[in-house]
Amino acid sequence: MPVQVLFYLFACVSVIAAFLTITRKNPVISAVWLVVCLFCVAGIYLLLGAYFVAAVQVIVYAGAVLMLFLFVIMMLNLRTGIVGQMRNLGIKLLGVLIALLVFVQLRLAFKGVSLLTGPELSADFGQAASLGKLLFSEYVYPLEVIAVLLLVAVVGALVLTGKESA
Amino acid sequence: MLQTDWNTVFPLLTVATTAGFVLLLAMVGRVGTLRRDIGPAAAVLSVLGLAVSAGMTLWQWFSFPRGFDPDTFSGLLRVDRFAIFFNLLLCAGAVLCILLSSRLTGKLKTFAGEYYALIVLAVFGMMVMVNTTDLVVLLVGLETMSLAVYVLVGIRRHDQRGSEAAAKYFLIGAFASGFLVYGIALTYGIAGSTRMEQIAVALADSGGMPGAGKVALAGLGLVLVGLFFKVSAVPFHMWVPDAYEGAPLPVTTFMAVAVKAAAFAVLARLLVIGFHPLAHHWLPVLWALAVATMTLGNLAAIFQGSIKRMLAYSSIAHAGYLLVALASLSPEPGLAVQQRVLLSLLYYLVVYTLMNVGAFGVLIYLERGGRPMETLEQVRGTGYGYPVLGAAMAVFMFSLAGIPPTGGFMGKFYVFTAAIDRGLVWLAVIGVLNSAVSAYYYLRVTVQMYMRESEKSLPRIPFSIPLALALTVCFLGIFYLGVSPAGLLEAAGRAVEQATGMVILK
Repeated sequence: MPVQVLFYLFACVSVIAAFLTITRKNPVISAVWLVVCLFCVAGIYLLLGAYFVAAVQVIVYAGAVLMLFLFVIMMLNLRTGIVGQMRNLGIKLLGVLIALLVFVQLRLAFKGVSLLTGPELSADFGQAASLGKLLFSEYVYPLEVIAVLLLVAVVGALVLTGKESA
Repeated sequence: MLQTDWNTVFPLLTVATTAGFVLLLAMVGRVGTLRRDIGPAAAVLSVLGLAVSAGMTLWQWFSFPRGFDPDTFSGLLRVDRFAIFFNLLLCAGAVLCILLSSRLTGKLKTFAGEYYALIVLAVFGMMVMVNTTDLVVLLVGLETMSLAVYVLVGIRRHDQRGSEAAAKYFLIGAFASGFLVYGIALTYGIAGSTRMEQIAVALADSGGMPGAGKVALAGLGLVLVGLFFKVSAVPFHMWVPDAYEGAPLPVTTFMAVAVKAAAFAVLARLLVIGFHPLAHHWLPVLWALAVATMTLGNLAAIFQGSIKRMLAYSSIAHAGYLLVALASLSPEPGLAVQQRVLLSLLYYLVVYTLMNVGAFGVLIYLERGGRPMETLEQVRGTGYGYPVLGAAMAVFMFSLAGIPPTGGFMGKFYVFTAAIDRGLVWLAVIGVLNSAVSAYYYLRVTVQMYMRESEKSLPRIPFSIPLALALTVCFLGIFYLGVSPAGLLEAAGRAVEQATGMVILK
């Protein structure tokens, strides 16, 4: 099954890339690994038939958001300063322990569950047109609320960074 | 085409439009030749907008459910009496906080307009949260509220503590949202819907998918963790003292009052409707958390030298009492059993709003020339210097401690009776013991204000109309609710009827 081969490829690479993201000392290299990870997730979306979400993932996350990350890292000139402060081994071990615990719990929770028993997907599933129709008919209310959310974000950014008049 | 009943949406629209106009006003105030302080004008405009919205909400209350369509936007907007009750409470809380803000915005100058706009926008987010039974809409509303409050915490940009508090609150809040989203995703994976009613139906007959119950539990757990952060339940309370202390006092009041009320409204709805079939699993969790939250909040509050920090821990303790109310929910479906519990929750939240606004308001009033009144030493002797303020603070402290004839006593009385009715006598006993502990640190404030002489003579405090107005409302409200609780109880009872009836009686 080529689809399954592709899935495992994307999944493995994304996990490895995510691991490298949090272990690299240089934040720029971390950010680049994050791009790789996000691309692989976009690939998984493609395999699931969610074409529009995959495109958004690449354009917005791997593109715009990551550019912002890199921009901030380079502007603040963060080389190893922040990473150097996170040397507390106890905290790291605790983090690993909790992550393992959550992993085991989720593994147990999903054991024997077959989630893919839903109805067949319609032909236009995951395409921009059908998503748009849904967003502007059934889900128009949260869409409008998100507009207010963005307004809050803009005002907030302005208040926290804008120039103060004397 | 979608049919939308504008009577349903009007309160929300008014709040959003008000925020827009306040922002416009702020912009006008910045235009070169007109440059002037628009703080007071922005405050008046915000209060007016919230009042119009509250008025429309009142109309909705009385004409429910014939005057308008309670479910609009394909069921994503749900205006039942439960939502209307909280809309009114949130509008009132926000107006009181705006009244407390007059001195702060006088100092902010540049961003005074944006300050009020952010408060109004946060109220919009809260109203979206409580006016829905859909998890996606809930999340969007929650984020709108949180984002606005993160900025409000850090609004004094040159204050290092404020910036640190804002950064901490933002990071932990984003983390909590992550939990919430993951939980919603897992729940959707099991239930195939984000509507609470349909989630309840899907969870009740989980025969469809083998082993689905465990995934549902994981979803429930993650959603609850996300919301417990917002209501500041122990052990998710670490951010509270720092964020409350670093924020300007009016913002602290807003966080303690409105944000908590909205989060509890959402939590109550989720537990009573969506996750009710799993009640046997979440009830023990709530028992444990209620005990931990009350006890830790009260014990930590004893050791605080700063009144602001003490009130932060006290708000954690009060979250514990509110959790006692939720922990007394019954696993049996049926309206009558849940009604008394939810009623006590609503009553307590109203009283809690009044007494917290009052206590913080007195601290704001005592501020002199930008010097904050925060430590116990600083308020020493102020009861003699300012008799009216001292008396008001004493009443608010009595109410917070739960001493009759104040509203705080009635609130605790109803919460603990609800617990006893459910057979949770031990929980009620722990609660009462905790209130006894809390009396120590609340009364200590009054003792400091009255029993000790002040070292220096106290300067005159300029009279402030908005502050005095807010304090008077809280003062009278606490006595009114303490002496004749019937009116509010009846209103809360009618609010609860529709909140949960639709599903539980299915």
